[in-house]
Amino acid sequence: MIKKILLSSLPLMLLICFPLTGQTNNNDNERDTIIDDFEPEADIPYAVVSPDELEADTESYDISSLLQGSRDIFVSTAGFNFGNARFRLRGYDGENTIVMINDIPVNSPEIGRAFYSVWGGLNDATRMTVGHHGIGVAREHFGAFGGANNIVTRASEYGPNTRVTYSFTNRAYTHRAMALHSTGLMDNGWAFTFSGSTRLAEEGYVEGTFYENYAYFLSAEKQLNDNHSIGFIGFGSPSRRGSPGVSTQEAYDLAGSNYYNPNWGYQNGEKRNARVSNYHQPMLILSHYWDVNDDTELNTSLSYSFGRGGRTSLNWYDAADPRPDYYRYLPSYHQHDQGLFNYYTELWQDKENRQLQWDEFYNANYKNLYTQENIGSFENGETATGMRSKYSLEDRRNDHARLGLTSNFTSFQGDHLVLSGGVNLYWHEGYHFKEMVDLLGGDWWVDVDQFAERDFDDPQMAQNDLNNPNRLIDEGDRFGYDYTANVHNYEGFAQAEFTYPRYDFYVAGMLSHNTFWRTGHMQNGRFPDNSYGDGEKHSFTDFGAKGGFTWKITGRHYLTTNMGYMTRAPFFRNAYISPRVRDDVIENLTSEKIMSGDINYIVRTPTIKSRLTLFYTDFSDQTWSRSFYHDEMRTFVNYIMTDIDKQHMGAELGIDLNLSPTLSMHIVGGLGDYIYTSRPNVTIAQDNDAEILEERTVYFENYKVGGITHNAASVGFRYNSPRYWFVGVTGNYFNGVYLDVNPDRRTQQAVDGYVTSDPQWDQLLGQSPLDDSFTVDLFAGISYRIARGYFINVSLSVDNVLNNTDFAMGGFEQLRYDSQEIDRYPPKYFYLYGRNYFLNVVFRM
Amino acid sequence: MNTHKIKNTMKIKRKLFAHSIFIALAFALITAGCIKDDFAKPDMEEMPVGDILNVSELRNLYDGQRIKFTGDTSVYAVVTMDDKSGNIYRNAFIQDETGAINLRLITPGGLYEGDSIRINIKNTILSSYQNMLQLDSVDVDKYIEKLATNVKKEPDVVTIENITSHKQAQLIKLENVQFRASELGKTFADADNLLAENRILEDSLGNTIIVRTSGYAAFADDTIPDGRGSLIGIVSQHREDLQLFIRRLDEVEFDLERFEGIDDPLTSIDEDFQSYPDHAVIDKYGWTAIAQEGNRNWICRTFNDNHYAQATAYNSADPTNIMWMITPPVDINELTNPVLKFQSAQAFYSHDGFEVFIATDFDGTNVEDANWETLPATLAGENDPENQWIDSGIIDLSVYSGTIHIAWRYEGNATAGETGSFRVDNVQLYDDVDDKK
Repeated sequence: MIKKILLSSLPLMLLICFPLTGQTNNNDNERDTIIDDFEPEADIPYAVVSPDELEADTESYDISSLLQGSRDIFVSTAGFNFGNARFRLRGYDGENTIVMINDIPVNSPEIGRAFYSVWGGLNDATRMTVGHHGIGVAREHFGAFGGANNIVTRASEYGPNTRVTYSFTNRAYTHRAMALHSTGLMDNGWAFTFSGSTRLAEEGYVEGTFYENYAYFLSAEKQLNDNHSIGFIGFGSPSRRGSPGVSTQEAYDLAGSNYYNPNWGYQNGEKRNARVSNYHQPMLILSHYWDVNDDTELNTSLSYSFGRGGRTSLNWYDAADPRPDYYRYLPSYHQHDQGLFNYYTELWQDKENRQLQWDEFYNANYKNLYTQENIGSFENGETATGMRSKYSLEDRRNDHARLGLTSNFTSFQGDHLVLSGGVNLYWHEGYHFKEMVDLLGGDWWVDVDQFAERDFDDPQMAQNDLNNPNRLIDEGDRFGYDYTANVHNYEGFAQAEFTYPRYDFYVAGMLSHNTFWRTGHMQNGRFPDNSYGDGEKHSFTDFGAKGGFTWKITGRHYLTTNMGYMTRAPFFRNAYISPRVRDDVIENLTSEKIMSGDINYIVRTPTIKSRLTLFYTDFSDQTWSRSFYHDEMRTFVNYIMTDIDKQHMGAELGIDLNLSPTLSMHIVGGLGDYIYTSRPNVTIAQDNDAEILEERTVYFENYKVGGITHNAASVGFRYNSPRYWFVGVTGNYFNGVYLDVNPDRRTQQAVDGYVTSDPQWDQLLGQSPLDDSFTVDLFAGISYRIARGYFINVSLSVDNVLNNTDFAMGGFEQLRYDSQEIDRYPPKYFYLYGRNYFLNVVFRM
Repeated sequence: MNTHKIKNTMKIKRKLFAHSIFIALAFALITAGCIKDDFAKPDMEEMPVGDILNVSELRNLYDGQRIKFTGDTSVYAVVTMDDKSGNIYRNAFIQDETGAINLRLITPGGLYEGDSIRINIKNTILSSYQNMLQLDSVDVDKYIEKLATNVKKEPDVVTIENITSHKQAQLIKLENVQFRASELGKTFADADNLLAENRILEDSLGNTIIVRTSGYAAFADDTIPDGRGSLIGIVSQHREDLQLFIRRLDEVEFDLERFEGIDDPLTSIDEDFQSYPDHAVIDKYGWTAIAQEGNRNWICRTFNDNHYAQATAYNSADPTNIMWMITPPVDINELTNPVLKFQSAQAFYSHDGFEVFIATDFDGTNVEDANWETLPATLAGENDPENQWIDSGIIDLSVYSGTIHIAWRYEGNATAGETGSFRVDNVQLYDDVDDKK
């Protein structure tokens, strides 16, 4: 009966344009998480790389592409439908999920997160994953409490297979072509998998963005005998992308679009993007697979990852801020002067004016005759006269080289016990520096800090490199800052899994030792004694323990619970106050502590698969540091927050219903309450000066963790025709989207002079969620057999069918603020793409 | 399946695969070319010259009304001060052979001292801000062409007295000057709170001028030098106040011994007023003359080559005249037995409007705020002959301590006919050690 009703109502639902989604093995849709396009960018004009900036450099939070493959309906929906809207599983940051390739963890040692762009485009080759979400069992690694996922890339694991894919979309890229060929394990003991892909867009969904990516992959394996096998895996994904930007609502409204992108402008009539990310970080893996006996295997891999990363940015010296949406160019800045207000409003009407003015940058550089003295030395330096660039384009590089050694075993001890364990060692060097990309028509740039030039009378202090004072920088030169982040990590884990007819349980333990230090390659004029050479080493010993228990109530009902506690060394990027210029770490640097637990009720019957989970996680002693331009001090300041405690609590519900052999339905809901539970300490230091300017307490208790969507729900239907086609619709609802809060506004100093009845009091302290949103997705697909064993699959999905372009899925409060006039520096928002589609054609054989 | 069929299938398979690969590759090659990563340099836009004005001509265009230039007009000049040191912000000063002017820039920076520039004044505004003439809204990127760098402009050597509104924006050099004693120990500005401050500079004649420094200046936190010497700066004006901006510290060369400044406490006074010209106000060498009410003040008069100080309300247009003549500060603690003597005289006697006081708390400016005590001096009065110098007698000051000022106060009332003149001469304050014996 139910089936009939639902069947008959399906066309109706389609008519009223419900959305849909679906998840099967032959659904080849790939989500580019929108998040990687709309990065929160700290409000930094230039010269500073903050952790935020680094995040912006690569794709982040795109855990979803892995999760989509999950068989758990909650996890796959969270990845596929919610990921775009900044919903993250349990609200965790990326460092709480360990991602591995062939057992080797690839999370960044400096930041903690895995960057999926490293193998971007290699979807076919990285399709096989094993792992868990939350606290659970992984035999390759202790993992983290957000989960562990291992991408299986061993050549013999791929079945014989050839596929060629072409995709057409209007998202970050336009075209995608992929090819994969696997031989499977051949009679001669060899197995090969080759894959290559390209993703291209002359202009993506957001104006002024482009996309250029070519990826390659090779996995080879030779079975030496029954017990030993060796393999090689090598892959890389060079990409260049023009970035979209994040702006204020005022700018969006003036430009008439929530996808306004301030990062591009016309040069000679052609669109040029100033923020181009350029990554290529190949990874090479040499593995030994050893079946010690029928029950035990030991796999050992030596890995090497290396290459370049970076994103370009405009820099300017003694010149106007070139960013078109700089707050002084917005009408609101001139609200008290009607004439100027009208002038700027008028200016914004013209599209050309609200973008970068490349031609003007060149012309300013063409005319800027300058004589630089004391080049190379203050005593007997040279003098040069030429056109000194006022505007330039620099690449803020974050290259790296990492050598890793991983060895894991799994051993089946009879029917009831599985032992596993292993060690993972790595030696990482991250190379951080700036490289001059384009002098924009000038002859050279001078390697000095213009803020220090003004702040200090002594010209030595303005030098970025005292060993090379007043150096003239040509295109291709390294300048500004140059340091290496060294991270050495040694960790091991052991795990025992017990299986009985009515109960399963497991326990696991982890021990790790982490050492990091900074090596400076320039002697900075502000910190001559504290910037060059090897800095102090910082070591941390950490441990973790976890366990879980499953009660099989019946064969169809399960109750499981997991608990864990672990400590984690601070990440390099959070530990240093201003690593570009000096070797100072935060005071009382300490390991973060994480405690987590969950309870799950699972139902599995032929018609319903369902899971209900309650979880609770407590993070303590986290650290946060940012740099930003302080308007009143007219210089950069470092803002460091320590002793941050957070509590993540919530529920997950996933129901997968087979209403009939052809019609299925899913209901998914995630509720999250992610709050701060401590009053962190803040220290503020001028970037140019080691002196602490301010120490404050942030009244952060019970503020929501911002930048993520707390609650999401999804209902979807899918019809699978016996004639090899399918169609589906999904509706998604999001609620509890909070801005990243500016901690400084939640201090006593911020409200100093106000009483609770002043409007400023609430403006400064308030935190309210952004609007709730609803989106609808549709999808359909068909599979043809051309001949025996040859198939063409065609699928199309249309997301956000209702073209909801007002869904602000996140944003952040600017760090600079005016306590009297909060609106002077309004928050910046990013929006979910409007209606977009993804067409996929796959030839399989 | 027979062999033929298998072969056929293999063929199709290979073909299909080959085609797919071909399509994918072709597509990759075609689209790859579309993505731009090499951009041609834009052509340089020439800046029109138009009419040519010198700086003096430009200044003279100002007639009290702001002028916005709309046509192409070029001015050639050399930058004499930039905003690199932070002492000025979004400002620059330029000068040619005929004069100098202040540029106000739409963005900070971009002009450097010694730049020889051509500025097309199109879209700029000539205006006066608090009496300082300025060329406002200058867009360095668009409207300034740099012709040469490091062109040295030598400052004009002037005296404080020479500095008037006509010197606005000019680079000048003062010699033989020092900061007032009361400023010593202070910094140029309040660097902690980023506030601008004024420091008073004096010459040996007691002329003064303000040295104004921004709290953002690189040297804001430096202590002002306590010697005497030369100073190079740019003349600026704020309302009636003329002031100087220093470009950098090495242009303040105060390596000579200080002279006794006007507010250096003295240990003696011996003033016969002979150095004052006739009708000069008695405000040199640390002396202060204050017209508390009315416009009349203590001035120098002469008779038979004798110069003396005189106060009178005779023929005054003011209903009331109150005027003070005050000595420089004297550090009386330095003296064992300090005494004061002077001479006074009267003429055209009409009233007793003449008194002599002492104060230990006079700040040099605010006469109303000090506690003046009458001194027991013999003063010329009604019964004394006109023009006859009367000795005050030796007045013992040993009961006082600290820094003291002696003041002569005159009060007249022309409407009431109280217009008599009083005169003071041969003021002596000294340590009467002999008397102590």
